[in-house]
Formats: sequence, C-alpha cells, structure tokens
Amino acid sequence: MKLLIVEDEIGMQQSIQAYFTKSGYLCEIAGTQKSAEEKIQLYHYDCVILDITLPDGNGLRILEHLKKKNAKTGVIILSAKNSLDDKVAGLTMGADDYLSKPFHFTELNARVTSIVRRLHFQGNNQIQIGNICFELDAQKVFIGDKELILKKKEYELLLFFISNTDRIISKSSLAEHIWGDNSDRTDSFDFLYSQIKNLRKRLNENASDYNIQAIYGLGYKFIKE
Amino acid sequence: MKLLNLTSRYFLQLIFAMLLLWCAVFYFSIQSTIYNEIDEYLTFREQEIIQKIKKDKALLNTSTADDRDFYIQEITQKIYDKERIKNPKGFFQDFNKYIPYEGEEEPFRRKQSVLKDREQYYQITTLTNMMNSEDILYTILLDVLVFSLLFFALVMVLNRFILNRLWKPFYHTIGNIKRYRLDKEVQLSYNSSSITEFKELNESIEELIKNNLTAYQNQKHFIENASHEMQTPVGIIHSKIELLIEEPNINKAQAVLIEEISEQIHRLSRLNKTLLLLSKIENNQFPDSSVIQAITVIKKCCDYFKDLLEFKNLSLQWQQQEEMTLTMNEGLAEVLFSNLLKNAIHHNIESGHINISITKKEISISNTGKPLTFDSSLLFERFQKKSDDPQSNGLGLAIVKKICVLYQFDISYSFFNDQHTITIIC
Repeated sequence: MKLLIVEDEIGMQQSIQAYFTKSGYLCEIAGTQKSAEEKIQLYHYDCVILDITLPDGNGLRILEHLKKKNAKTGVIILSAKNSLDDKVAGLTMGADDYLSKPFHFTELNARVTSIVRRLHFQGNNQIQIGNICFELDAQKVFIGDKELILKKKEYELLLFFISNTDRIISKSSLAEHIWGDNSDRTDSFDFLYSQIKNLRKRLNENASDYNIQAIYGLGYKFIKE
Repeated sequence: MKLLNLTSRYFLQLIFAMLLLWCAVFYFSIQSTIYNEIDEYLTFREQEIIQKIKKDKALLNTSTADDRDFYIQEITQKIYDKERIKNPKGFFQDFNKYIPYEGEEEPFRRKQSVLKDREQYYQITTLTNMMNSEDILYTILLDVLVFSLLFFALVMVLNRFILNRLWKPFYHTIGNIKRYRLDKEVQLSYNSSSITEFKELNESIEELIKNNLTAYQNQKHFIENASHEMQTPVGIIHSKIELLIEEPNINKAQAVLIEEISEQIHRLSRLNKTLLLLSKIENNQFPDSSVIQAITVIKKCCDYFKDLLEFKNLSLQWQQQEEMTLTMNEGLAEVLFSNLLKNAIHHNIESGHINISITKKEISISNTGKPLTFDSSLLFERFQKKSDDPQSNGLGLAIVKKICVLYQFDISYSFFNDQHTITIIC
C-alpha cells in the first residue's frame, strides 16, 4: 500500500510517516503543493493524506489535480482550520474523508484503512479478522457463524478496535472517536470503560480469536489471543 | 425630557411672564393717558363753568340738577379754607353712578374744587362719564393680549419647526449609536450636517467607533489566531505521544507519566478547539442557515446519547412535541442541543430524569439534579467551572449562550422542585 503524506510541518510529517510505516504502508512525503503535484503526476498512491494549508498554495488544488488524473486514489483531508467550508469544499471535490487537527493517529489509521478497503474491495464490504466478521453495510458482526448483537456504540467501538488491530489505542482517542467533541465529560470515560469491559466479556464468551487487552497506563490493544 | 420640549417649556414660561408684565405696563400706561385726558377735560370744563358763573350768577342756584355735568354746593368758610390748603388745585375722584336708562352703575370721574364768590363759599364738582374710556382701555388690552398670544403661538410653532430641523442630524446620530453593536458589523450612515458642532460630533463618534472596532477586531483575531497557531504544536505533541506509547519496553512508571501527559494534551487540544468554535460563532463564521425542525435535531442528539442515558440509568421523557422550525446553521443547531443534553445528563443524579418539551415558540430541557453551588447568573459565563469534573472545560453553556445570542434566541435558567430547567425562546 502506498501512501502520500502532504504536510508542511516537519514534525507532523515525520510522525505520520513513522506511524503508517509501522502499519506496513509505504510512505512518501511532500511538503509543498508543487512537490505533491509532481509526485502525483509520476506515481500511483492508494491514499493521499492531504493538509489543506500549504506554504505555496491550497491543498484543494492538489485534490483537483488528482481528480483530473482520475486515479483510484483515496483522499483524506487534514485541516487545522476545523472549518466547515473546507470540509464541504473538500468532500464535494471528491475527497473521501475529512479530519480536523489535532487528531489521534488511531483515528486517522481507522479512516485510511476504511478508505483503502472501500477502494480495493468493492462490492464485498466485509472485514474478516480471525473468526470475527464485520458486515459493514448491514452493520452486523459475526463470530464464527453466530451473530454478536451489539448496541450502536459498542459496534462503533469494536470497529475502531478492529481498524487498529495490534496498535495501542489511548483512552482519549477512544473517547474522542465515540463522543467526538462531546468527549469532555467524565461520564463519557466511565461509559467507555463499562462498554469495553462488556465487549471483552462478550468476545470472550463467544470464543473470539481476538480480544481487547488493557495496556497499563497507555490504553488498549486489539490482539490475537 | 426632550431637548425640544425643554426649550419650548423655557420659552413658554419666559414669554408668558413677559406677556403678563407687558399687559400690566400697557394697561397702566394707557390708563394714565386716559386719566390725564379726562382730568384735563374736567379742568377745562370747570374753568368754563366758572367763567359762565361770573357772567350769570343764577347758575349758582340751578346747579344741583341731576342731568348736568356739574353741580355747585354752598360750603362754610372753614371747609373752604381746609380744602384750599389740602387741594389747592382741586381733587379728582372716581365713582360709580346709577344710570337709569342703562339700568346699572357706570364709572364716572369728578373734579371737586372750591370757589369764593363775594364772601360766599361754594364747592364746584365737574363730572364726566368714563364709560367710553374704560371700553377703549379694555378693547386695546384685549387686542394686545390676543395679538400677543397669536404671536406667541407662532413663535412656538416656528421654534419647534426650526429646532426640529436643526437637531435632526443629532437625532440621526443618536439613532445610529443606539443601533450600533460592537460585535455586529453594521455600516452606519451619517447625515452630512452643515452645523459645525454636529459635524464634529459625527466625526468624533466615527473615530471612536473605528478605534473600538479595530481594538475589538484585533482582540477577536488574536484569540482566533492564537488558537489556530496552537493547533499545530499541540497536534505535533499529540502525534509524538502516540508514537511514544507504541515504543517497546515502557515500564509502568513511564506509562503512568505518558498517560498523564496524553490526558492533559488531549484536554488542551479540546479546550483550544472549543475556544476556536466560540470565536467562530462570535465572528459569525457559520453563514449558511437552513430551515430545520427542532424536533428532528433534538431526537438525533437523544439518539446519539442513548447509550449514555442507559448507562447512567436516566429516563428521558417528552412532554410536548409540537412542530417548531428554526432558521439556523445546522451544525450549530446540533452543537446547541447536544451541549444542552450533555449538560442535562452530566449534572443529573443517579436514576434521574430528563424532560424535554417543544412548543411552537419554546424549547425547554430540564433535568433532576443538585442545586447550583454558585450564582445562576454566572451559569452561562465562560470558565465558570464549578463542577469537580476534571474533564469539563466550563465552556459548554458559554457556547450555548453564544449560539443563542447569534440567532437572537432568549435563553433562561430556572431551578424548581430539584429540577434544573433551561428554556430557549425562539
């Protein structure tokens, strides 16, 4: 899988690159609009992580360029502006997703994974991990043949874990994924702990190959047991 | 009191006093002229009669007739002497006399003087009717009064008219200032006035507003820029921590430290995001409004919090569900109601209730909970964080308030029967 990271902040560039390299992606970096356009012209990427504010222009220009080339490339827009205009403009121009800075890598990872999955496995909208099977369109989860009935938030939580298999997921990134901007309450953390506890129990009961493991002080990990 | 009325009032009082004074002066002046004339006449007539008496002594005895304009009485020497010393030129007196054909008393004036004729002493009285002169006096006085009043009225009307015209630019300016809101960019129109004072006033106000606006905008932009600029380093720290947690060989003590850093940076970034949102609402950067159903948005929010409600064992009840349409930015509507609902969930008690009621004009969300430990007027203020929740940033209700202000909704809070109620009147 090839990933192009268009980001002008060097610190950010390096972090994204390090994170996704670990996930097994081949990452390339472009710090300006010009170099990004050159790279897009020359190579094919599965997904482009696109920062909108660039020193020599707007990331949306690159998106335009990319769409002209008509490549089968997923685009996820990053913006520090948290602006609805950018979001709407980006999505109407054909971006697949939008994430406002600052974000959690686990969140970005889940979104990139989802975009890549959509582009490569058309029609068959399923995720299979061990004996767990996600039917994304129907929003159903099966362990083996048996359906696991989950509440809405539990489903979201499990999907997030599965999109970040083998990675450490911090509590705050979980809270933000589930509650978005409303994650600023202790309630939402308490709720999360109980959901995770419940989820672990259910997965255990149904003899799932994978389960959630708590990593002391750091968060959780979804790993093969 | 309006300046115009005040000026009119002063004018009125002044002119009225002057009018009274003028009438009085006029009255006495005319009266004295008339008296002079009459007295002159009486003196002349007296001399005429004395001349006649000198020619015709018989007159001395026929002079008591009632229809005459004079009569003569004999007096003693003693009275004669006394009168001569007291009034050497005779004396004048007003009196009323009954006139049979008029059927009423009429004013008369007489002159009495004493006369000596061959050792005989007489008192001669000449009189004349004052009816005409009185009439003239009153007519003139009335005319003066009427004309003065008319003149007075005219002056008042003109004064009002002129003042109105003159002060018009001033009232326009006042209207401008009244309509002016620092946080709303309204272009003010200034009437160009030819009056120097008003011109100066307008210029000063314009200058003042310009300066204020610049200061205000600078401040607003500073908050916005500061939040923006902070996003990048916060984002980078965030990303580095996420890389750090995946490093192998982290011991427990390090993990605890990392967790603490991670939590705080998460909090900082959320705070920053919220401040940015607040400043964006203030800057009205959510221009596109659409017509939305309040009930749809609120139900969506309820659905979003459904699991959390269940987790906290709270019951949610709808009391009234009328159709209500709002014209506002959809994203902000969601922010508004999710913040209210979040608040109602968070500040609730174990197994408490949340009641939602929507009528055509009013949305109210109430929840069971402990009474506030601070003044309720501070409820919607920024950073009035009184709860002991470390995760709360104390901006939720400030955002709610800002959104309400932006769309001119009326928001209020009340506490009754252990129920906190927030009501929005649209």
